Amino acid sequence: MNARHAGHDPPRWATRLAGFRLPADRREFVLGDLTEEFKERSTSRGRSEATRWYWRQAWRTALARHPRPLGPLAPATPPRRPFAMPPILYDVRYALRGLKQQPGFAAAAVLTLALGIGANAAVFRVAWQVILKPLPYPEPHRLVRVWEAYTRNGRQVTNVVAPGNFVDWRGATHSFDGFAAYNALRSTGDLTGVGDPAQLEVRTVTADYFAVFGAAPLLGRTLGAADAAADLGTVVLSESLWRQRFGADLHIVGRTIWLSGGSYTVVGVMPAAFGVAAGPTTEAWLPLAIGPAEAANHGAHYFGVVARLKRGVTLDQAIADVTAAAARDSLEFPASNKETSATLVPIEAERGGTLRSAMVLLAAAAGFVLLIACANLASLQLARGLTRAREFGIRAALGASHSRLIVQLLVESLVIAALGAAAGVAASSWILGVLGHVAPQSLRAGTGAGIDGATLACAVGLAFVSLLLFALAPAWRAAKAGGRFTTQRLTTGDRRAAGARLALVVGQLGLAVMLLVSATLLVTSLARVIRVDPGFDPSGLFTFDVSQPGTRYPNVAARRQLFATVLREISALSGVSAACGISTVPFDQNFNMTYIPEGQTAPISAYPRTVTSGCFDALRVHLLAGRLFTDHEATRVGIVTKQFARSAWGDASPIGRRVHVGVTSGDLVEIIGVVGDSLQTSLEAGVYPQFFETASTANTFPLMSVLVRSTVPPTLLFSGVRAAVRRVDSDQTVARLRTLEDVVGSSVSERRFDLGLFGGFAIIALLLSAVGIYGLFAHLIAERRSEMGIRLALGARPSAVVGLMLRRAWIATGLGLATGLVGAYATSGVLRRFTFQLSPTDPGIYAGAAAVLGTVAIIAAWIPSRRAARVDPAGTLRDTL
Amino acid sequence: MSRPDSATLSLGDFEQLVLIALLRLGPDAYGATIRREIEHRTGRDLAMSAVYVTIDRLEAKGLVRTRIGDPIAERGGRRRKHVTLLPAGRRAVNAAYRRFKAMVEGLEHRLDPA
Repeated sequence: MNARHAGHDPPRWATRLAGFRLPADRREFVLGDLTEEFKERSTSRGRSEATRWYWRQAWRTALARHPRPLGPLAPATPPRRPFAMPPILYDVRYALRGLKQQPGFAAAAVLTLALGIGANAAVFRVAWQVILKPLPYPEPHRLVRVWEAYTRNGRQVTNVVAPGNFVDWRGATHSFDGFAAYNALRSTGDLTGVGDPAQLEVRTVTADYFAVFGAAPLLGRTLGAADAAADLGTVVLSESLWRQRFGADLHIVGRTIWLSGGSYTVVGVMPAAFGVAAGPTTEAWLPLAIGPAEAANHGAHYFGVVARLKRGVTLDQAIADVTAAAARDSLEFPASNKETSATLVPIEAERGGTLRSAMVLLAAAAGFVLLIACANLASLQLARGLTRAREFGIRAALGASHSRLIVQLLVESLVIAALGAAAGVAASSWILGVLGHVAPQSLRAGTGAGIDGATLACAVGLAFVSLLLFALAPAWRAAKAGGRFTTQRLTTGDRRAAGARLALVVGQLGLAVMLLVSATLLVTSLARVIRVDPGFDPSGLFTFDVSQPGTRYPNVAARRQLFATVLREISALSGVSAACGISTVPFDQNFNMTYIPEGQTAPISAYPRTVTSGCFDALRVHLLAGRLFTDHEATRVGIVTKQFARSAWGDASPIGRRVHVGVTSGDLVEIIGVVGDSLQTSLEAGVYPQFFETASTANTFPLMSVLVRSTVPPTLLFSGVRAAVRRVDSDQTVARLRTLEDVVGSSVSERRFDLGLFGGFAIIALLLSAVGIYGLFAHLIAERRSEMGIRLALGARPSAVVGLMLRRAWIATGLGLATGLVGAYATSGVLRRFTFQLSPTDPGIYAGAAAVLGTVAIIAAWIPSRRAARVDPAGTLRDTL
Repeated sequence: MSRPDSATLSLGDFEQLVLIALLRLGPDAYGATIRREIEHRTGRDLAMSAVYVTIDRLEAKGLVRTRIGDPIAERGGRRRKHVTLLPAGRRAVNAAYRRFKAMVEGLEHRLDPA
């Protein structure tokens, strides 16, 4: 900047001061003149004098009025306004001003709508994440999951596929572009050499697994036929593993990693989205080679199978195709496959699992809440329309058209809807944040506190729907009524509006009853589920996984040795009363095996369990007959559960009998004992047969978990357990350390989540209905004040006046309850799958819900009704006459 | 459309001062020179914005015409608004002066305070 000129510039702040109130079309010239004169003055009279003068001018300009001439200004160009407000914005401004004047009404309306929209947005967000969001694969509608199917007690049950069946079906079907399998048993690998040893979730997949999904890798390539055939030791990593463990190394392809002691070459990285249906928790995919022995195995079921339908092939055609293949197998291998059929489920339809049906229920519940909220708002608007009748009358008289008034009322409602939507989105975020703690694992992704575009769009859409529901009719009515009330004085109220509002109350009471009945059914069911005895005692039990990498523990003997040492170390910890190894912890992932009692042909499906001695004591599962395993069995022996024994041999004693494992040609195992049944998949699923073998004689040694019973709170022992395992093998990981109570608890987490949402909705519905009823009666009474005054003046007893008002409340409540109970009964079928050991039409629950709601309704009506008796007769008469 | 006769228009005190300043300054008068002229002659310290209020009013009455010049560096790149006295303005000043003169005739000795 040139110093000489800079010295001549007028004070900047004074220029701002002078400029901010000058009319735009004058500012340039006035400021220019001031600047010019400032410069002239600072040369002639000195800078400080000029500055003082300039400031004085600035202040006078800022404080002066700047009137425009009233005369016939004829500007060359039309006046430019910086921002011309479209007419609708005037209505918006008017509406905002109106709401500000009635903060009570505004708060009630926005809050009501926010609850309605929030409930729906929350459900929508979960549904979107879990079910609705398009799957990240090309043509996802062609993706199907293949299940084995059986008929049990007239119902079809599905199961994962035996490797032999998979191989046969893949060869025999023609409807698929790809038919791929993965090992559905949970498998892990210990990643070493990159930071601390970590247990990875690994999925072994057949060659065309990636091709079936049609997903492209983020880096490198996917696994192909050559990988499995040549046993190249190749691995594909998940994006999250690549980012977290390998720092998103762009040169990862070709790098060697160590998994459970073996070296693998990374050939590719799959994007996070790939996992959605292809292994959401999988961190590494390895090639799965099916050897000849496995290809002939029809008895053990542990293959998850996915397939891609050929273009143009319908689901029914494909099902017929795979069913035919299964039928051929059941003829060829009657021992294992006699009852085995097959079915296909589109992956899109399978998404969300059991949650799918819950989502429908929750969406309906949220919809009810919104309807109730809209009923309240419509009622509020009707009431407000009546109180504003005078205003509208005057405006109509001044020439406002009917449509103009309607538009204005609609804009008011629009403002409420917009505010409600904004608050609703915030509310949904909050609801999900709260529920995130109880959400089952499958839902965690859908319950983050963030807000996505889809949810936002949903909220806006809902706001418009509710706008139609709550605003259109009241706006029409109020605007139409406008002309009438300017001179007329109300005495008994507007009957038609009151009738409409009464109908709204009946409607919302009905919806609230339905919600309350459903919520009570769910609460009662959850309480019953929690009280179910699982057949083992989870309290004080905890478990963790010990991996046995094949490189360091190459044979059964080495693994047995590792386990024995680990168990000895842990048993020595103080606070541990029992420790054992078990192949599958209750409520963990299960697969079943086929067993055939010697001399019979009918196979029995059961969960296979390999245990070390002492497990039954640790689980507190009781021995019913025979004996338990000892540490040193001479021959291969087994223990069965009561249910297994009954279905194999009826009431005869199973002790000493023998069972083929897998197929009739399989090894024979002698039964030495019978133990009590225990639940293995969830508290609700019922018992399933189990077949126990002891780790000391089983000819395999599967991946085992350690089960520990402690006499102190389990979490106190966790660090001691980690240290004990590390003493045995410093590269050993302690994975999935958790208490059995948590394991059991998480099996009801979905139920808790459903109930959390549903119960919340029911409570909101109850509150909204109460507010609606209160509002209606408060308004009815205000409207009929003069009538009450006259009645009191003519000698009516106050209690009679209250009774008169309450009679309406009784009628409305009675009608509402009746509607709701009938509605709840009619829709009870939907709830059947959510209730547990409870009829969805349980009369006690219906009566309870009706009683609660009836009481709330009558109290809500009674509070304002008392006011009717306190009307001052003289005052009212004076006002009325 | 008939424009009110400038002779019958009543001019405010300040309007008269501005018109007379214009008469003196010639065709290229603008805000700063007008303000300085009036301040110089009457000793009144005027706000610049007040000059413009009056110029706009005079223009609305059809007594002056304004013309916007080019940006000038000393003004911080701002333009001048030049004001030209129109014949109607000249007549209005004349009329005002005549009225004033007629009214004060014979009173001069009583009016001059000096």
